[in-house]
Amino acid sequence: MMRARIITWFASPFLSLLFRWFLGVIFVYAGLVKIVDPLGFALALYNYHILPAWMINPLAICVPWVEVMVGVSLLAGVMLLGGAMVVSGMLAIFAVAIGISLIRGLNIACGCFSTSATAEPITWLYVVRDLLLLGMGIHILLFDQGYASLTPLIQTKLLRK
Amino acid sequence: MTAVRKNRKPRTGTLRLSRTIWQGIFLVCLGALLAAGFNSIRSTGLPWTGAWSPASLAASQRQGLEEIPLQEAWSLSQTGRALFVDARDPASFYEGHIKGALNCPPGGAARYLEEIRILALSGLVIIAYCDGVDCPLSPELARSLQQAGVPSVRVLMDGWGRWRKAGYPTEKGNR
Repeated sequence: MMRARIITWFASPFLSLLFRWFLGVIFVYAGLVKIVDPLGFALALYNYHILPAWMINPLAICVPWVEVMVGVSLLAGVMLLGGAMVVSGMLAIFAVAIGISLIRGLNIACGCFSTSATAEPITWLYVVRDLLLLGMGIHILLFDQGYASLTPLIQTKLLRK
Repeated sequence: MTAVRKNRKPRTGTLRLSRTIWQGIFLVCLGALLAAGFNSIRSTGLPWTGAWSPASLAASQRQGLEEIPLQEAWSLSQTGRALFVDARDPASFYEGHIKGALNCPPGGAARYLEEIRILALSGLVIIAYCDGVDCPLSPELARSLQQAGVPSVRVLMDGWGRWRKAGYPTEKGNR
């Protein structure tokens, strides 16, 4: 009985809605911070010493906008599944990148919510945080029912036209 | 009926997966398109191909900042017209720093801001330094001082290493 209740609570679409809004705000914020300072973000990417040099600038230009797009998608509930998939993919990549850098002993800033090269250096807590956020993304993919989604509104408007 | 249901289930799953993937691709492409458009019209846009190396990194950190040659920093210090601000962490500062320098890591710049501003207005040249060619601390400190309205801020790149090598006076301890 208790177990069933926990499962029902865990699989609740309302919990998924909460995760959607939470991740949405986080991704829009993280994207905007990087859009303001693309050079700082490029520098943060370079400091990881994982990517080849030719990939740094294109990623520094595009990743922040993709973050904003998927953040808006989660907040508005439009193209929700795609948004949740990209968010989860990005979080998995970030967690791996931070983990590799920690194993290699790099003392670098995350570049996650600040583009300052002198921000607090990464720790294993950053990996844990990204994995928790990844869990939220997967939850959305599995259990979201499209509550508070703008999709029906958009579809109705389009059909009227 | 059961057979129909059994056939439908994986089909719905496949459709959901395919929709997820296409939506994801669409969002990534839309983000990339907006990024390319915005990057082409903004004044601080990045080139698509950047030559990332320690040298180019140091150059990008210096962007918009005025560097000071070692010799000039030395002669300014000799005439008492320079204030050295050490952007490294307190432990490194304790182990050794340029004689008379103030320890001011970028995160704690606000603490000394008024003092530095008054000294700069009285005619001193503020010289920020840290250790290493690609050390980001001194450019960051210089930038935050500039933004706070401190005049005549300059950066001595790889300041600590070059100063020591030249045999100029250093000291240990806190300040």
